[in-house]
Amino acid sequence: MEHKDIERLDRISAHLHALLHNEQPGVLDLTGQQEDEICQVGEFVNTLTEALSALTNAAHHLSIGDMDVPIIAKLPACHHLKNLQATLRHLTWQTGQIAKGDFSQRVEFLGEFSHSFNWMVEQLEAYRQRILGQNRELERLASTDSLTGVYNRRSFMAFATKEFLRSRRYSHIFSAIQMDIDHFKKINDTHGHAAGDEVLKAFTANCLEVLRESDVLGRIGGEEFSIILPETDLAGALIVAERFRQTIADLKVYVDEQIVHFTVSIGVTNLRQDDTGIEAVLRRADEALYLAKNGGRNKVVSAG
Amino acid sequence: MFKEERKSLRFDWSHLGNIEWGRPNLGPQTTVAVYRLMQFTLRDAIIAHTDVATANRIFYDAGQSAGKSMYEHLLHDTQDFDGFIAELQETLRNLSIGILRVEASDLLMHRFVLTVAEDLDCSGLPMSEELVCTFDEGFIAALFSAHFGRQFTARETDCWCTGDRVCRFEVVLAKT
Ligand SMILES: [Zn+2]
Repeated sequence: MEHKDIERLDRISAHLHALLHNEQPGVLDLTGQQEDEICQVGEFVNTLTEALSALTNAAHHLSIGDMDVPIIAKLPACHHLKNLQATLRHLTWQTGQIAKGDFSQRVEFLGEFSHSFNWMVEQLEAYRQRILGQNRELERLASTDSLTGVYNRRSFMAFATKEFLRSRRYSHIFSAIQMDIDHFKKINDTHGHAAGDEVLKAFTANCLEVLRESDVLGRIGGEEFSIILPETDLAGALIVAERFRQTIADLKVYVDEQIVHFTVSIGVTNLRQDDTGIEAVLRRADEALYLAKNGGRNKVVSAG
Repeated sequence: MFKEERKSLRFDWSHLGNIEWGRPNLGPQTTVAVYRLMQFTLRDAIIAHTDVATANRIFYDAGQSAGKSMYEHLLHDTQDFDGFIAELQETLRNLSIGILRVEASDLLMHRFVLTVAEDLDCSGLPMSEELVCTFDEGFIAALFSAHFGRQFTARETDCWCTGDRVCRFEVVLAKT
């Protein structure tokens, strides 16, 4: 072998050595030499060096999460990186979708990571469902009376206010009923608090049977109840109230093998032109209820 | 139906015929090679008879017609974008057309970047400098146009043939 060929091979060898030891060799310059096999090997080495450099660059960018670098695929390894790049870009989009609440997203083609990720999404969805369920339950608990299950004062007033505003806006009618169980304190004193609770439960259960689905019953005090009857005139409300008074008067509640009878006094009114708020309507029903109490109880009195 | 002269597209889903009835023994499936044999010999002949630009236009238009027809017959019209994409992904996978994935979706600017892996048209083709999925461009454009009720165009920016493992499409509102 001629001396200059040995020298050229040495340069190729040094180039490859540098490449293998993580150094950045410059371009092998074998030009000016004769076009022989050694020269061709040199060209291949240059092409390979360039492709490796592109691959390293692409791998570096992917490793730091830069997914927008264009990957020029000269080596088969680049194809895999491009594939990974596409998968990661899609994963980024999917994560955004999940953040927006789209829990249908599932990751594929990322082996163990796919399993973990998808499990995380399923768990997130399960947590969300649980929290939504708990919120609904809390909402229900906060808005209902725990003993009778009907609206408590706060949510009844919220509903009544809404009904007042709605009726005003669309020129609709509604009626309101105030009720008070007669001598409730005596029931408690004679038969005990458990009997009082049974009476309250029986009272609301029977009341709900008389009412329509659109009517709303609320427990606004110990033995005080209110009803809003949407789209109902005074005459209609009086019929409901009288039917209910009669039902309660006929009712027998059994507590510890004792029969408890009780009655209810009822005041009824309807929405009027000059009512400035729901309070005015309920106050008028209250006044009618007061008259019913004073008139001997177990009565329906209309404020109309 | 098939051989009448025409100046505008007349394809109808019914032209696919009753495959179940027509192929009681062979069934509805064939191979990807057969599909590609058709697509690339057709492309070859069209280019030979006209030119590359005309061939591309023909494939894009045919893709649009296919996308429009598929949207009408296989997809539901009453969905939001997420639902549309989910159903499209499932449909393309069930039909072995490809694995559709979204890389970017900008619903305000109406700009989307999609990839299709294991594409029926091009995955596994020999490397070249060419983006060959012209039919898919028209196909995707028509699907988006049908969903949004506005005209979209789709452009392939990366193809298996150019060394990507997936085909990448940019979908934007058509310039009016
Ligand atoms: Zn392609």
